[in-house]
Amino acid sequence: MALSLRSKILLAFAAALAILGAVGLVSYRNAVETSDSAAWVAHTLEVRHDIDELVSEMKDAETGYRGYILTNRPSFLVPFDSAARRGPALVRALRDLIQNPAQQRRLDTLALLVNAKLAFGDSVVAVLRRRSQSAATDLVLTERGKVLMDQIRGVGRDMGVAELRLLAERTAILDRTASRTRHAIIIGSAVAILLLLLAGISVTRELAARQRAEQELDRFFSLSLDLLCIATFDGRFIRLNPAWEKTLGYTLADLKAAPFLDFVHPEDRERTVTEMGRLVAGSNAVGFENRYRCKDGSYRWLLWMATPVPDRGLVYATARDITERKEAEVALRQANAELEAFSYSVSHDLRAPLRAIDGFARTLTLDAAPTLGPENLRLLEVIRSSAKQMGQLIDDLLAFSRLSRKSLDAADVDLAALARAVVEEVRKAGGRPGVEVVVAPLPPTRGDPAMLHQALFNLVDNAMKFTRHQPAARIEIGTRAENGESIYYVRDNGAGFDMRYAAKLFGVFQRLHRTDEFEGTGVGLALVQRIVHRHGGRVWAEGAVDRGATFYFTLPGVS
Amino acid sequence: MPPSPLIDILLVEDNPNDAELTLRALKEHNLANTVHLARDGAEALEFLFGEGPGRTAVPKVILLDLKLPKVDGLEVLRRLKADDRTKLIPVVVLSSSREEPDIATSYRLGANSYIVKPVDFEAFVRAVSDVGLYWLLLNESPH
Repeated sequence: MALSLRSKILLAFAAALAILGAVGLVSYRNAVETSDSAAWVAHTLEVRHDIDELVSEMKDAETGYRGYILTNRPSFLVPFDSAARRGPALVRALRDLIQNPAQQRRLDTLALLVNAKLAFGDSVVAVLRRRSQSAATDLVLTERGKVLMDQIRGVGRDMGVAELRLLAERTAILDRTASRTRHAIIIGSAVAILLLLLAGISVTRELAARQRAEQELDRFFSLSLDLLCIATFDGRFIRLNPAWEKTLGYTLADLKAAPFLDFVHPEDRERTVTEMGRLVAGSNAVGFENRYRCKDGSYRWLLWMATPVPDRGLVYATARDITERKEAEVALRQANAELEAFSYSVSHDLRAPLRAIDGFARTLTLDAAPTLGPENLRLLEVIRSSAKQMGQLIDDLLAFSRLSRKSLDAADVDLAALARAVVEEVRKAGGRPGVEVVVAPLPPTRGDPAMLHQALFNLVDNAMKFTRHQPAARIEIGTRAENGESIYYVRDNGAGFDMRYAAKLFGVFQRLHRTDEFEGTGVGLALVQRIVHRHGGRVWAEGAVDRGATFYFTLPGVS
Repeated sequence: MPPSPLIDILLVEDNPNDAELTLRALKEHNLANTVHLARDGAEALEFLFGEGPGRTAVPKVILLDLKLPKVDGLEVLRRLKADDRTKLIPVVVLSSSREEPDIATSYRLGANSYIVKPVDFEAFVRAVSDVGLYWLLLNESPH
């Protein structure tokens, strides 16, 4: 069971508290038992005292009636009368004190003996008064009184002994309990102290770790090149890192003094308020951009990541100064626009003179053929074909440059259908119906259909071109999976190439064959490479001279 | 050159070589007898909308280059498609540019065809004559 340190500490404190509570309870019970024990001792003493007193009273009673017989003076009867009152009172008192059943039975016996003894005394006194001193003396001499007295002493002694035994038993039990209680208190306290100690150590350590972590965060906070801040939902900074000072030039106090919207570019305020509204509603801000005013009046572009903490009404945010990137973007857009104008100009102006060269050379060929010799006509033909080739170069180069500027419009593409359509087009253009072309089933993919069409066209066109001297030309378009990635390929059994020059294949205007072997401008594969790269994929080739070539490419998902 | 009611083709082309080659191409197909040549956009607009008497004639087809001095081809196209007198004249853009925006803008402004001038003269002749034949002979002009 994995418990957080916090729950472990809480658990330790709770356990220590529970143990201390239990120890307190046990101590209380112990104190109660100790006082019980004292009470039992007092009880026993009282019982024994009462018994002794009872026996003594009975002795006094005997002494009383005996003295009365000897002296015939009623004053000697005073102890007897007193014992006659006190005896039963003491028996009642003992009855209240004694709970032990055996003792109660003994007390019953004692009570009967006391009553008998007092009754005997009464009868002796009555005989003396009604008859004579000698008759009373005879009655005493029956030794009934003595026997009763001995019995009373015996029972009294027994009761005293029993009471002492009971006390010993009770004390032993109490001692045992007290000993166990002491152990429980000692162990419980020790465990509680240990737990508290451990919890205390953990808390101290945790506090130290937190402090360290806080210091670490503070250090990063101060070091960060990005602008870090905490702002309230009502639009004020409450904490800012030093990067703000460095970036905007204001002191942190300046920035905290006003609502942050005051520093936002007027054109960006509405968007900023909207974004803040979204944050307050609980969603994160990712990639939001706005401009902040610097102390010198210029503006810096900031790119934001922010997250709200609604229950505290705060927004935690980090911003990056992207001014330079923004400026670079503007410069790039300008450069692109210039390049576009340049391409347009190239497209339009460079081709016109070539058209004139070709056109007038042809006119000359037609109009002056009879006066020009065959050699001159051949030279005119060279001029014309050179002009056409340069036209082709320009067209290819422009197509290549257009491709970099064109946006990628992704759609689901049925690559197999596209491949079959491309094969038909290439066949029509090249007029080579004899070539065997196999299109394997290809998984559907995503990409720019026009670009993928162009790439496949160039690859198939290439394959057709380089299988021209192969009587049993065969082109295969297929796919294979490797590491969960689809690798597409276009394979031919044509002229192939030397692997040593494989790196040159995809360069613009790079050719591995002479123009008189295979015509071309050296742009086709460069175009393929750029298209594949635009799709985030890789392209490479394998081949051997006269053993064909295989062009591979991947098209990772384009969203 | 005074405007003539017999003008069949208005050729707007600033490059004299291209103009000559176009005329040759048209001549090879016997289409060049009534061609008026405007050497920039302003001249073309002057020919179509210029002041003075006898401006009633309109060409049956206009061959329009895009990159022109003074007023460029797209502007000429926009103006003549916006004018009731000229908006029904078929306009064939004959341009060196195969840039997507040029093609798209031309068609949006109402061009009837867009032909990229090939370097290859034979192909050029074919393209020009196809267009000329189509618009002059086959297409039933609204005029």
